[in-house]
Amino acid sequence: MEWSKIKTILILLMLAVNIFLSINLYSQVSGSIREEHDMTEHSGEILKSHGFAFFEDAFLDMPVSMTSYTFRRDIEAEAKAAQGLLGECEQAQQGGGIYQYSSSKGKVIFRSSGYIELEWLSEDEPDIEALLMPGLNEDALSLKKETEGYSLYMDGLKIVGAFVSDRHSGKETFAEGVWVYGQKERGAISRTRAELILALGDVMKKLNLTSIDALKSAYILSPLQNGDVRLTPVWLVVSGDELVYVSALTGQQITS
Amino acid sequence: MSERFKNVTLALMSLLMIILLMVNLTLSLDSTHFVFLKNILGIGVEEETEQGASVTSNAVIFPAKLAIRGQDGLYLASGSAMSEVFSEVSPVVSEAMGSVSKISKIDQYRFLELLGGNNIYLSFTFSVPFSLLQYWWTGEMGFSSDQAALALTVSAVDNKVVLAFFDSQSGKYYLAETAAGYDRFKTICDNAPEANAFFAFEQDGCHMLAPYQPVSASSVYYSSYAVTVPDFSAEGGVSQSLLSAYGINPFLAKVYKTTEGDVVYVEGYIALQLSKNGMAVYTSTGEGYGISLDVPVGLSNKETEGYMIKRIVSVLEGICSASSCQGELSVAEIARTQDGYMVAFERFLGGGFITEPDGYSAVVVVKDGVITDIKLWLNSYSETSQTMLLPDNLVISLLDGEGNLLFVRYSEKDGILSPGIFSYNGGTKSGVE
Repeated sequence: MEWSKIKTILILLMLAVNIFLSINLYSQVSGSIREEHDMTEHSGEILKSHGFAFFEDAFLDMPVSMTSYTFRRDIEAEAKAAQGLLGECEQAQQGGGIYQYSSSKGKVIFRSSGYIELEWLSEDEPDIEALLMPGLNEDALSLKKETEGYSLYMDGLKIVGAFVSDRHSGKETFAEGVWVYGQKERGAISRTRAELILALGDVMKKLNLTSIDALKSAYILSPLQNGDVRLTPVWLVVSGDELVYVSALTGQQITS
Repeated sequence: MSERFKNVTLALMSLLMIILLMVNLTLSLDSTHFVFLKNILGIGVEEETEQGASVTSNAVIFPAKLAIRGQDGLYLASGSAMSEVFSEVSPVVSEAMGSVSKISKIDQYRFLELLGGNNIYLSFTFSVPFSLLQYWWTGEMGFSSDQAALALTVSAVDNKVVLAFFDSQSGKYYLAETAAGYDRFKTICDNAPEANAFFAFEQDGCHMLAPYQPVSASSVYYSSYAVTVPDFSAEGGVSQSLLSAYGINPFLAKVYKTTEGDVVYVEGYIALQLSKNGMAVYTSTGEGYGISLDVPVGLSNKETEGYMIKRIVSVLEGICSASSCQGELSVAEIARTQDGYMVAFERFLGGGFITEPDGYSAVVVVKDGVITDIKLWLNSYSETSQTMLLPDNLVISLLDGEGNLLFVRYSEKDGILSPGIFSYNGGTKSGVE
């Protein structure tokens, strides 16, 4: 009986402690979110006071944080992709990270840093998606068919530089471009929105740009010397005819 | 039944309390753990150290000159753009290097002819053994000859990518077929930035330069840096991670201070002297003692050499990251000794190499697969301003003789690291600006 009472008291005590900790956690998180929101608004106002023009809520619609990723080249995924398109095929290694797969239907060459080339000789239409899908081994990755080829998206954001185009020449079909085949590794986290707004102001000032006509977030794919690829989160700014990429990691302008 | 319910509730409450406590503590203390949770919540974002999209990793050696010839002419990369351009051209250059076949001798005229067309041009501060270059940049060593490359071009002949290089040791030029992708190569050349340079052989009045030397035709900008010398004698001036990077146990090592203010750690046969001018000297006096490079068995001599130097770079990078010094180390000299190697490195920063007061940024001695001596400068640098350098074509009139090569190098004066144009001709380096 005594032990039962102690248990009841302990449960009540823990309930009280848990309620306190939950309130504390909620206040910390909501306080940080509010603070981040206020800082973002304040940074936007600073930019406005320096003569920059932009549409309402331009910055508040941007993601609070983004992450960079490195995709390690996966030769097995490439082989699977080639087999998905060509069926039974032969592999040839030419050095320099070049892997060639060929069958009677055509040949696919995988080069370092995600570069692929397809030469399709068969009269049937090639199923290019069968070649590209094995790269999408991460839930976050998705492809989108566009007029001139296929684009790659990460977490719903476009990966600038990851695009495979296809063209027909007589009975033959050719496709080439950059795609991602590999396992992703998380990298560094972006700066805060407030920091990026101020950095964006500096970049635009250097470029003599004063208006933000459109603002989006995206990833830029860049090759690494070891054959892997890196996805760098960026803020993509449209100002008149100019398209400017600002790294969400460093706040500096980068070229695509 | 009631007791069982209480037991379960108690267990759940305890678990919930632990979780809530951990989350509260994690978020209130500035811990680096739970980054993912912080990321999701959008708070406590970590400091960024990466340089965005232009990161090169473990390159081992960096080119001293890097240029791309496209439709509009020759673009010579300079300053901070060097790393970015190097990163951009690396896949094609690596592919070409890794897939070379059928190497044949060519004459200088043919080499210059290739430089006149679309090409990617790289040159080094010394003739780098081609097999090592291939190993460091591609991870493969399919080339076993002894040729070395001082200047190298990835070019195209009949829509096929070829690689040509000049070996300054033998004075010969070579051309090799490659399996590198032509479309990829062409895209790089077609998208080359605005032309700002020309090759010395393309204009009159450049006879004092090597004909394959790119000459900038407009002013270029390089960053200047403030030099911070680490204070090793201060309390906590030598971190445990720095000692661990040298393989020294901070709890077992004896510490001494010299009258000059240097700090010396001694553990068995190993000594590490950290000078007040920022230089760290590591010495092993016992046979077989030092930092082992764990060279795998079964490698050829050339592969062993390439592997060892790559491992040395990762050891040095570990030391540098433990002491927060910026820039990347690039091989500057390789000398074979009786029982090993002496490898010297220069630090590559902001598009140029640093000339330290005594020459190289690091000198490493390897004996029987073990690092026995390291001399390494551990200064850190912070960008201060941009410095404009005159175009090369205004500088060349100051040069003597023929066959000079021009490089941008950094040298320190009164705590400021400033860029300058240096000429190199037959083993001597001299500043001309």
